Amino acid sequence: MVTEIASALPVIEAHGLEKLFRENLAVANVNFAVYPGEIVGFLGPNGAGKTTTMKMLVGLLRPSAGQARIAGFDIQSQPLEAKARIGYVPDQPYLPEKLTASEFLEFIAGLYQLDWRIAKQRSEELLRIFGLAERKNELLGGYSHGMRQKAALAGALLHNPQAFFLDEPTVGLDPRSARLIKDILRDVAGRGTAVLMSTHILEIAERMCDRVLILNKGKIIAAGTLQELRAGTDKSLEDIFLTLTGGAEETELAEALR
Amino acid sequence: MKSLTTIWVLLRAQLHIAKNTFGHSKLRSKISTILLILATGFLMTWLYEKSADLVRFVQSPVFTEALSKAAAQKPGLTPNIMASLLALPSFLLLFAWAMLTFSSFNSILSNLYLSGDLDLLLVAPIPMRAVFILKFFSGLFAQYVFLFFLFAPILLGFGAGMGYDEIYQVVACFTLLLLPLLPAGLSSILVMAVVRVIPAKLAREVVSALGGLLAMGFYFLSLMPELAPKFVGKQNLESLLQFDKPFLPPVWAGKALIAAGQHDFFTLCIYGSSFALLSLSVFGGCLVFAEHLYYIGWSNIAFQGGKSKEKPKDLPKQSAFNLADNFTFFFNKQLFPFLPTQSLAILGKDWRIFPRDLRNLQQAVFPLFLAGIWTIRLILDSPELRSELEDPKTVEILALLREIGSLGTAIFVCSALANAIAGPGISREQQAFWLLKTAPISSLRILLGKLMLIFLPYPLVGTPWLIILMLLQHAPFLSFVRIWGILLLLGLGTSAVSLSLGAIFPRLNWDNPQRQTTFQASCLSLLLSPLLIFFLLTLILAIPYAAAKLNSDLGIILALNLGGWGLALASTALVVWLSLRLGAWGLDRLEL
Repeated sequence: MVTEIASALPVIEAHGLEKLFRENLAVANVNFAVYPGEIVGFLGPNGAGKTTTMKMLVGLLRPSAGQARIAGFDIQSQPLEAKARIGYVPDQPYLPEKLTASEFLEFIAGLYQLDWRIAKQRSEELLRIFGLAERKNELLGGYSHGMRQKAALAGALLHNPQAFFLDEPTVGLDPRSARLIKDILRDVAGRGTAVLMSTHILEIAERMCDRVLILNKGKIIAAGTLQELRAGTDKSLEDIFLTLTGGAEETELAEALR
Repeated sequence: MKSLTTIWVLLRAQLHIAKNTFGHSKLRSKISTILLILATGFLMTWLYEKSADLVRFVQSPVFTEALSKAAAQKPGLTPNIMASLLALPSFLLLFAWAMLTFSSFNSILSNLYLSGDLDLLLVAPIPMRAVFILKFFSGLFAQYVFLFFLFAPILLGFGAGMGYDEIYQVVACFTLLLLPLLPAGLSSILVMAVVRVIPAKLAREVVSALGGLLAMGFYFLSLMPELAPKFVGKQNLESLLQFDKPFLPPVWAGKALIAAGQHDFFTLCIYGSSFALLSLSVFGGCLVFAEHLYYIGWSNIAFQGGKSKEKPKDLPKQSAFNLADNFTFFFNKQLFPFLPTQSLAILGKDWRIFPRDLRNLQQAVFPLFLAGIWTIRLILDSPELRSELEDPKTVEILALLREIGSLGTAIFVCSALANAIAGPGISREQQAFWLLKTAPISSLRILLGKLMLIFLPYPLVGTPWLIILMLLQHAPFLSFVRIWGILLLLGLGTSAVSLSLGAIFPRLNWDNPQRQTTFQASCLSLLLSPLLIFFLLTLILAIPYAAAKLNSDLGIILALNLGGWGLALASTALVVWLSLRLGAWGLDRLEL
């Protein structure tokens, strides 16, 4: 699998990405690539710069330095070509509250200029998969957080993106929905989509991701497959994460307090 | 005791937030806040001084003499001025009380059910009573601000004018402290009952809409001078005295105030204690009852979704993509062939959202209502209906003024509708703007869709509006065509300007629709739009009209007319193009 991936051209590329907020360097010289069919976990403690990096990759933030490329297109200089290949679900998916789920998908189809008949078929299918078919004519404002998350996912998948970005996709979801998202991610990756997913749930990253990137204080401090990160030891991803991000002291402290 | 400690903790947090909000704000905001405080202080002092001066003047020999002279000329006019003056505090308090009764519902609803920190407070191990009391009194804060900044200076100024001493001033302050309690207590129960039935957000929208309609009613009355005589005159002054009868609690408070000023302590005790006891007991009772309802879950935050909804029926007309080739029956490619599909999608989406928010509808109803009144006045005052006007020059000038009047009404209606439908454009997207920002659509196309929406009222509503107006005024066809053309040009130009400013200075985190435009966008729009209107009107109307007045050659007049139109068209096109470019630049710079 890894050999197949490495031979293809990367879909998501970060080249020396940096983001400066006033005097605070939130992201510093981040470099990585995600290949077709690959699921990459983006890990890091709070404030590490995961969301900022992801926002630069999808075009919501302008990098202070460096380049973000989607399927070879620079998100800043060729935004339309790049964005046409992106699917993005933020951690707090604000959606137009006064639209119904079906109208929302209709709107997305218009934005992505999809063929109407295909879009219709696909939106019905996605609504069914996400369990929203029965409530598709209700306003999104009346949806729970989990349902909004699913509606946002349906919108992000409607145009079959080549690069799929998910920021904390399982937050606020019940186990069934979280499982559904895992299944969908596998399915999406199986069809050749590059998936970059930030998460705090290491179990998800451990079970689902082909590779993980660990970000701390705006820098990538480790990258590779789980085996590569373990480097011959039998450490869990949690142990590796805590060691790398300086969380070991906290663990010791927590144990001392017991 | 635990409740009191919690209230103190929560109150201290609120103070910290207020302090930090000011401390961490930009220098510009700090200066604005300080200026606002100074202006408020100045207004309060002005109100106090003017109230005192007015009351002194009414009691002065000059006014008494003038009144006697007027009474000599009109024997029926002998109102008891002193009795009316002594009834003034009761009127004022009654008026304030009525306003508080209406506004406290919205205020308490927003604080008890719709404030952002409720989730945090409800899951914290703190007494529910403390949360309720804090939120309840936060809701009353606005009422007290309103009372102490507007009514206190007038009441205290009245006391100063009447020559009352400190006892009056102290009683006046206590009265104002007690005044909101009764309406707030009753409103709290009403809020509980309403939220039990409908979701809090919807309740707020309905109340906002009702508030708008009420304001509209008052404004309507103020615009009808025919109704004014009914309020002025001896009979009306005397009929106002009827309100001074002690049937309602605020009148008791008014009477207690006068008694305090006159050192009539017996009356002060009777009325003052009655008012205080009733206010405090009703407030206390309602507070305990409402808190109980909130606590037991009969109507608490967990219930804010209203009654459980029935499963919606899957109406075929609403199913996804039921109109395979269209967004809606209205916004389709056949009707707007020049508009890119993506812009059409935005147009269709915004059009759908508009009628679903009652607050938008309220914004649209008020100007329409107002324009209706103006139109009636315009038609009633039109020269054709005035047989006494025979001077052709006067008729000509009046015809021109009528044209401008019709144009002004149409612009007002259309711009108000445009504002209600689309607001400042981009800000309408609120925090869902990320959807557009991550979609493969250029900023120019986003703005194009928004521009179409803002501009739509001009052809859709402005055209029939002008036709009706011109038909009723028997205006010539050419006059209609000219005014219609100007309306469309001005509409397009001003829409583009306001859209562009909205894109350069967006506000995506608003909650109240009246606060969706930023200060910068509002100021610049107020400056640029009238300039554009003035410029275009000069080109199209003023220059040819002046040439005609100077007895120029017919050819020159025609050339000036055509040239004016040509220049106006070119200028509008340039303004639209520049606005879209600048707006797109603003959107491209926007980071989320």
